[in-house]
Amino acid sequence: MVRVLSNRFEVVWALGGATYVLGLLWRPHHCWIHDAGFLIISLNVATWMTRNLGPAVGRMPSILSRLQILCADVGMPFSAGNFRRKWTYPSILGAMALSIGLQIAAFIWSRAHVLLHLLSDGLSLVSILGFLAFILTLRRIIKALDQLEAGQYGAAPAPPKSAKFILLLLPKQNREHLIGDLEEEYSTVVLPEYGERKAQFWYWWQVLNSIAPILWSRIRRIISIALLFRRAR
Amino acid sequence: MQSRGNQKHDPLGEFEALVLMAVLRLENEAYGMRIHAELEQRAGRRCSYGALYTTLDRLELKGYVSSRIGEPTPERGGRAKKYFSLDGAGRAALSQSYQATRRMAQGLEPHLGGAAW
Repeated sequence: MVRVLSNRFEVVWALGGATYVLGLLWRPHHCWIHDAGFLIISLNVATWMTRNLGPAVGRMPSILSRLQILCADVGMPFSAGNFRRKWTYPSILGAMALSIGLQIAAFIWSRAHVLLHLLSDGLSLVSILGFLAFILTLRRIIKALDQLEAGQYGAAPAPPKSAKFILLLLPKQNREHLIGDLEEEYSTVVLPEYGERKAQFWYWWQVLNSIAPILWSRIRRIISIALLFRRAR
Repeated sequence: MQSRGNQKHDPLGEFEALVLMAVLRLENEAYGMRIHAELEQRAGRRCSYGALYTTLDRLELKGYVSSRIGEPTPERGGRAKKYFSLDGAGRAALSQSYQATRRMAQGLEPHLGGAAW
């Protein structure tokens, strides 16, 4: 619990969520509790966005112009529509501010303004979805930029990371060499011959095949130790 | 582990013998991926890397092969190769196993589809 609520925003999020659920459970008699919860969540999202995404958004025009120059260098098409994305963030923030305003108005005039409530809830939902889409787009642009600058655009796809993670179960003695062999065969033989999807399937198959006998021998060892211990008793 | 000269060696399993032959054939280029490919191409034997390394470890423990760490390469994600080479004891064990198979197969050629040893 302490680890999950590691910062102020998460505490406020939890508080807002709890209030919101409480309001929903007691509805319609305690509608203001639900509204207060929603208000806390909305304000928290807006504050978090301003604080965490502000610097990244400030860099957006320069990021996009750098991306355009790099794309022109390597002859890659670059949609001018990408530039319009710099307006996405202020629009989302504006929608969220409007939603918070409406929520406050609805909070004050509670029952009389059901339409106001609905409008505010809908606007908040739209702005949160827009915010998520914006983060994903921003991440994609920054990743493409990093790849272009590192000269890795269009580089061969790497083996699945999760499969590599499973290989940590292998004995330390040969782990590095085995992963190296797998990676070499993946990138030099399998990937060029069969394409990404089949190559990833091949990689997974090799990983599971390599892990299975080791896991089985460990299980057998544990069982035999347990049996010996039982007999000794 | 030291070579045992003319002593009787631990009998080799079929897969162990194939691995030793692949190591012998590849000489200075005998590392995991090459041995794996050699086994598949020449013997039609598909195995996992886990099984291959387990066998190589066992052979090293018996003193039949020795290993050295090679250079890291970019296509391996910067990981080093582990090269294997056949030791005297391994050569003797392989020869012993081969001779035994040959003696057993003598006169059986017509039954084995004319396979020559």
